[in-house]
Amino acid sequence: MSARSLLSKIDAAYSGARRHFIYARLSLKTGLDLQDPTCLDEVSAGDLERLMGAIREICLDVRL
Amino acid sequence: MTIELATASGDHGLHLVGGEPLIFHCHHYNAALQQSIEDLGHSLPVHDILRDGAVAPVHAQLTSAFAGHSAAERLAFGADLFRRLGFGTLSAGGLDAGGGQASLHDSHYALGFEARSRHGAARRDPACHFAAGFVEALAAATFDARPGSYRAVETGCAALGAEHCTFDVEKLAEPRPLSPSMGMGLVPSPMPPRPRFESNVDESFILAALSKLPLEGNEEGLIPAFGVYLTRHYANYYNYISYELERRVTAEMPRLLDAARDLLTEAGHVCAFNTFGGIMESPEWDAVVGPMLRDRRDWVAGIVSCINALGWGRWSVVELVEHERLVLRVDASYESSYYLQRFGADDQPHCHFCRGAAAGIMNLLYAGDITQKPTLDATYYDQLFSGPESFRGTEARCRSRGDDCCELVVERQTYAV
Repeated sequence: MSARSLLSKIDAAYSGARRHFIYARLSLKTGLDLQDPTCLDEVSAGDLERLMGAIREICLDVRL
Repeated sequence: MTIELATASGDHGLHLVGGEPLIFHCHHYNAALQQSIEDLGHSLPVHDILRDGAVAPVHAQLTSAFAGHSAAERLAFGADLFRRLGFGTLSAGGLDAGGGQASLHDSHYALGFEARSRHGAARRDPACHFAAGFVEALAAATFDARPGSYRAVETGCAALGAEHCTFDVEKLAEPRPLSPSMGMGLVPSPMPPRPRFESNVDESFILAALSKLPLEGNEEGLIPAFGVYLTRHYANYYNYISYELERRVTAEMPRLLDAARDLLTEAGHVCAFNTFGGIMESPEWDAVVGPMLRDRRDWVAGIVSCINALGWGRWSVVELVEHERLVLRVDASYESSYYLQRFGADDQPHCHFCRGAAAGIMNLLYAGDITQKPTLDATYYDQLFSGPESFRGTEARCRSRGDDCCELVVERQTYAV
């Protein structure tokens, strides 16, 4: 699964400020600036693993 | 002779106890703020930051009153102070100059994380970093050592299922360097005149009534009030951990700075929703403020008056356009007063918490309807803060940017991702 498809699950589950702050938390937890779409072009396997772990921890409404 | 901490207050709105500004905050805010900082645990020593933030202010406060008292008296006083401030019941009598063990029952932070676990705040590691820092400061102040001379490690935590929290304390060969306490920071002197806002609310009456409430830790060391667990916390703890986060992210991960600031502000949303909401649904509000309330302008003026009892600085309403816009002025905000003292002015506003708290007032009154006493749960929070009609705060002026006051502007604004 790619970073973009992971984030599309977030976009489908949340909107507005909730989504904004979830993106902020995921950014801090992964070190990726997820609000900058270009950062998704450089995601390593380790980044992807961290992103999946952070989504599992934070986004209780999202199933991966 | 009993140990006593000198108290002082003034028109700046800060409440000094032993030279340290103490402020009220609830378990929702304390857990949300700590969680935001811990999110950077993969690249910053966040647990050191969370512990170190307690050491300087608590050490400065205790040493202001400890002269002439025995070690046993000092340890007993520190534990009682911890209880009265709402952090739980601390047993520190077993400490000696070399260290030892301390234990904590009914930890505020453990309880706070447990209560918020459905918000994704369940713990995988010990939660009580503030308490560890407090124990370190108490040991150093008791045994006439410099702050940073002791290391307390939480070896068991109620947030992880232990019956109570335990701390192993050791004396370090060399004290680790710590930023000194900023005390009350830089506050305006003299204080500027307040803007006038027409309402039916008598702030001085409200402040006098709230000052009589017994907002002090009970036998368990907890302060249950307004539907939350309050703490009377160290303003400089919040300041240290928030600005260390900002400072280190700026230096090491500048691309994440906006996200870090946003999360400091979101913790303010959480605070406003739970604490302001809890206050406005409380019997105390109905009894003290209720008789003054004719319309929602009065509700805004009433909650701002209550905020001025919390020790956060002096808040004033500048302008309210109902359903559209709120402008608040904060003189001597605890955030800007600290920031100016520690770092001096720069080109950015830094009252991130205040920004979130201000938005919360409008969301409670105009995105939702707190006057109807709704249930303050996660669903209602999302409705108020994430809907298309939600309000968002910006800081148009900030003393830490060189302005003469901090000014918060709250309007309906949508979020880009």
